[in-house]
Amino acid sequence: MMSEFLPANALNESRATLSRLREAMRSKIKGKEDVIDQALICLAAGGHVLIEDLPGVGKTTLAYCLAKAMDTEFKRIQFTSDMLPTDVTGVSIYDERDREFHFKPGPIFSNIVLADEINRATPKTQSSLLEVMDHGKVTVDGNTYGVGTPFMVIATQNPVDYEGTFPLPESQMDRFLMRLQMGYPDPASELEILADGNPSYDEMVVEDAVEPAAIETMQATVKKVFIEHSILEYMLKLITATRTESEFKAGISVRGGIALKIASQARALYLGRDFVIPEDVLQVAQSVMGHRLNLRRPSSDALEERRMVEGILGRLLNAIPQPK
Amino acid sequence: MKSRLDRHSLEDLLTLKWMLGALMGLVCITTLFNISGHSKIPALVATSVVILALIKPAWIARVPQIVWKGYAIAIVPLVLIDVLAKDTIPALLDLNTWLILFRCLNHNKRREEMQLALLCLFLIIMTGILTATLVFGFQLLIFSALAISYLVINTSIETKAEGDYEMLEEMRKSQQIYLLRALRSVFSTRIIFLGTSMFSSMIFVAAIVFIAIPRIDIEDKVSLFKMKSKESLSGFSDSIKLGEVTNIKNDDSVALRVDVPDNASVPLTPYWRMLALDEYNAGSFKLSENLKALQDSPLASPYHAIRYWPDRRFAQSPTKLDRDRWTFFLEPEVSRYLPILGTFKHMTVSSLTDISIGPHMHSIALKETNSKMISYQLEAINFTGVVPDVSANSYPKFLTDSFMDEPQRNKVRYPETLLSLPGESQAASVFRKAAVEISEGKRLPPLDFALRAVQYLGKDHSYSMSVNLPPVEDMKDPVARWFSSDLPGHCEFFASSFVLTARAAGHPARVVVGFKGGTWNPYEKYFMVRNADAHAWAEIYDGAGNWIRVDPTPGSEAPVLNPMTELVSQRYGEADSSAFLDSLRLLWYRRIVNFDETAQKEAAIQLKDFFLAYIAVAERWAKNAGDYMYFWVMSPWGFWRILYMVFLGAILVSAFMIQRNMTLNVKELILAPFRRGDPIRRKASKLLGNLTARTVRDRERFEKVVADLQRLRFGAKESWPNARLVFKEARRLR
Repeated sequence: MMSEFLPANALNESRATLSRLREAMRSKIKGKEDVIDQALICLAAGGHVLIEDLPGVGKTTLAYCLAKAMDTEFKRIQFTSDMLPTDVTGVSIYDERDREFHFKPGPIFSNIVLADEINRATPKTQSSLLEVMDHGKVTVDGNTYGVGTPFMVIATQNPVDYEGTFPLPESQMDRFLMRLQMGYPDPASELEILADGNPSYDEMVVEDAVEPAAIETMQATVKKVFIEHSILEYMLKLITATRTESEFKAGISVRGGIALKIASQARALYLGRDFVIPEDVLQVAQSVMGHRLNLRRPSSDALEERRMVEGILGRLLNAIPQPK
Repeated sequence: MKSRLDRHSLEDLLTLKWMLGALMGLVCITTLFNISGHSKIPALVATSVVILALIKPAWIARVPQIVWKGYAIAIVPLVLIDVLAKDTIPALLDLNTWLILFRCLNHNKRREEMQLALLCLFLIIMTGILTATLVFGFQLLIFSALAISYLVINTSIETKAEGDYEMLEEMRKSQQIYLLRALRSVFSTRIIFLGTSMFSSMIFVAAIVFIAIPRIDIEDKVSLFKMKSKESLSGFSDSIKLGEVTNIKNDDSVALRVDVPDNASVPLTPYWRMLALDEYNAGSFKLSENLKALQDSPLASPYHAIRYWPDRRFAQSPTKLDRDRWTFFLEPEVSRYLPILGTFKHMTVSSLTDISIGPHMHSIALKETNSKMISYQLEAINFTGVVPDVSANSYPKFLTDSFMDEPQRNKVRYPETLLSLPGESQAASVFRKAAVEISEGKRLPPLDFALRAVQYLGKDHSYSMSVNLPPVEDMKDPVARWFSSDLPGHCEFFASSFVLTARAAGHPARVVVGFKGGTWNPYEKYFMVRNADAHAWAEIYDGAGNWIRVDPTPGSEAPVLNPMTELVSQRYGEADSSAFLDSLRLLWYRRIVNFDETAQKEAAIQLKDFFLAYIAVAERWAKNAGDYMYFWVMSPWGFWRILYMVFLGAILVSAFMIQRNMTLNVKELILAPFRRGDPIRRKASKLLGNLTARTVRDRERFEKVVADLQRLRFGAKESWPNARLVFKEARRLR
């Protein structure tokens, strides 16, 4: 139960952290306020993001910018079909001089990891991410290594181009807190981007970056955001409704439910509240639940399937009465 | 009050101002309904339009400006026609009505507010002078309350908006007037308390002024105000056709109230005598011409009464003697003849020049029928059913002759009319035959004859309100026709038949009209005499200077010289709600309308005594309380006593704190155990639901309240703000 009292200074601190992050990101990424909001909510909740969109709409920039704004390490892994799990996690190499195996950490040992085109990797490689995304730990040759804190995976995938891809299994999908769509920027912002020239990632400098410790405090604070009983019941109703809906192959898992809760809490904190209102649940529901649901009769087109899932989910959200 | 009002939004205040202005106009216009002689159409139109405007303010706002301009111009010819067609006063009232209607639908600017207030004041003063009824008293109270709040709100708007009146007009046009919401938002315990105290202090000051100022009778000074305020009933005039008195009986309204001393004895069935009629002609009795002329002549003034009633006084103030005083309150437009009970020693009227006395018929009349309630007092009333006769020659002949027209000289004149029978010989013979039958050929004393005649009448006839006389046979005279049949009849038939029979037997007799009985009101101990109590009876001359009352109608007491009486304290009456309401009216008459100088002095002295007594009581109480406190402090302080006091203090402090945080009303507190969830959360949710989707000017404040409500609804209890204050703030936003 969320009866832990949230101290006022923790709340204020987290608020300040979030607003600093927001300002930093908004100054770098034009016209994508909503995606920035959702990404920050995801960060606050300590979850991972899956961004589904076409190449060249700013997925990498978003991830890079987030990393920069936090003064943390950023790695990018470009997934291909011939990639091996060790290419992600790292490998132990025998050192002749020491006559010992030395662990050489892979790119996953970082704070912000951009897993680009994640669906191009084989299921074996994709699965190497499971443990690290769940627990922030990597086990190689029986030894367990912790990755950086904070840790966040920003994965991208191209929903249109299906040639030679391995769609993410449901278990993998479940590990992502949210699935976002980047979308094109609005004309005004795009004009600004065009006029700005083309700064490289290295030129992107954020003054007054947030130190990692503040992020950890924030993530701890999110867990203390108060949820009133009726809101928990509301969440449960939503989840149960997805399970009984005949159009879906399977409903939201328990992990999905917990994700919905923590995302709602994160949104409340993001908006400066120390308690959750039904609106929070409603606003995060689509992005938290959308990618965890599959249609009973799969559609050939991924985009169309996504739209249909969103439609059904929207209907459920409308039908279930909010606590008043 | 101002600082508190400043916190309310300008919209609410403007809305409230508009509503109060309209209500004020409405109350003023409704006072016009009290004047029943006045045409109701303008008042009806204006009332319905204002009510409509209060229900749907936007409709009125949608009326284009040109219509109002046209209306303003149209008033002028309308009023001109009025002035030409009617008197000044009704025309003035109508003009005022139209102007108020115009203003109370359009009062935005400051000068327009002032106009509205002045117009309303003018109208209410006018109607007040014309009517002065109990209803008017209530209307005046409501008006003053409305006017106070109207002016206060205007002051507040003035300081707040600094003359931005265009906003109100725009608000009305854009249909943003929500009267109830504005009322709810502005109202609070504080406002109610302040308003009530302001209002009551105003009433108090008004009462003091009312008691203190010298009386003037404005009606006497300003002849303009002599306007009829009620439609006149036909009947009780000096000429009455058969059935007219019975007609009056259909009206159940109270015509006369008689205030009786507390320890007096009253007749079991009082006969309120108004007028006796002597001349009979084809079914109708009337006052003979010479008496009528005398009653209207200067000789009938009370100053001449000493000539024939040496033991009676008429005055404008009561005597100092310790005698029973009966006060009569006669409603307007009943009759110009004042109802009087038996004989009396002293009569007090407000103005001696207003009354004229018909000594022969023992009647006292006003110069003309009163248009307002009139009151008079009788002292030392004698309840015998007997009134003294005044001989026809009590005036020198040269005085009375000049009041008669030439042609009437050859007609039968007063004293002879008392014995005249129907002109139709057949009809006259009917009565003569009956007279012989009753007296059996002997010459009976009048009282004996009356007893027998009443029995004789009761033998063949019973009482009925409606009479169907058989079609004309050989006789035209209706009384004779009825008398010779065995039909039931009403009091007028009985009275007329008796009078004619008595005359046929040689006894002078006359018909008397007035009221019989009346309802005893136990609340204020007075008689309520209704129009339905109208009655006709007879008087027979005893040959020795007295007229004896004879009521031949079945069910009446037999003619006696001294009728039965009983004590006021033993009388019951009708103690129902209408009697209670009527007693309020008597209180109003007694204390407010009929407030002469002596009563004024009495009231002032009573008031002074009351205050002195009150101060004495308060002094004694304060002294006792002080003594007790001293004793309490000085008595020994043991451990238990101190513990007890600390405990008591703790309870008081916690009660205060609980009260401070008391956020739920009683209903919610009672229902809380039967409902799911926290009552405060539920209340917050209810208020949240009410607040959402509403346009507010003060965005910042609105959002703060919503955030607080959300915290109360969904937030942790530890972080709750003071729920009571939040709810109050939220209610104010609505």
